[in-house]
Amino acid sequence: MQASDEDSDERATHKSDDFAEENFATAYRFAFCLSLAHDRAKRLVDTTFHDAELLRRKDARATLDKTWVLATLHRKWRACHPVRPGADRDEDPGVSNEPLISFEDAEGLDCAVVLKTLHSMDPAHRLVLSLFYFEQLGYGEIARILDLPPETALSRLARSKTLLRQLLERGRRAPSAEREDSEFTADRSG
Amino acid sequence: MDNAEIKRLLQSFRKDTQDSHDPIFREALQRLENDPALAAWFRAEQEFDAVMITTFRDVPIGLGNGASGPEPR
Repeated sequence: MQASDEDSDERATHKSDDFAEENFATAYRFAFCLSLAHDRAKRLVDTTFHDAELLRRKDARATLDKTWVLATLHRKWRACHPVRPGADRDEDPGVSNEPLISFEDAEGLDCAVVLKTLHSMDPAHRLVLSLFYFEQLGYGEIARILDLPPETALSRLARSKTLLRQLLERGRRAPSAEREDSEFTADRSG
Repeated sequence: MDNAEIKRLLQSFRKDTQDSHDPIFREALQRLENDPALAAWFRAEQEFDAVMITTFRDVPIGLGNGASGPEPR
């Protein structure tokens, strides 16, 4: 009986290791997008995978997948960064009429520039964009992970994409000296 | 459904996914067939999405700080 319990524990550990290995990149990327700090991202990821292991030991049939990881990370982060009431109802004034970067110009951008722009955005915008572009998730899954009504996810995605394109175009047009030194400014009202 | 609403919806549309069967996009996609300007806008939007996906694919996980895989057990 003891040997079989030990075997079972070992199998559970292997499964947890595989799960963490398979989902680490996704988890870390999103955790960094949430916290914008590597040490906090690491802590978020570690506690999330620890929760996954506990859940799996409690219930071997528990559904643990990428969506669970991302939703759990977001929930943990939100517990430390509560959103003011109404903020999730997209009360921001909307995007301006600034020009948008074309896809041809976007093709020429370095990924570090795009990432810096993304991380300069308000969390409400950068999280939907991270899930849409990094993880290639649809609005429904994004809504579930971020605990939003689907209509809100749709609206927010549209506004966030427009804002990203405006910021990228603004950065592209800035003189190169300014571009190297400047912090991208973005709407942080969300 | 006006053009602003169509664009709002289609900015979230991902081709070659289950979005093609999602009823929320149906009317907006149908309108593309009869509106060349809207269709051109949609093509450009999809091209931008493809560029972003490719760009983000190049981002290293650790973002330069050496973060690697999960803690060994």
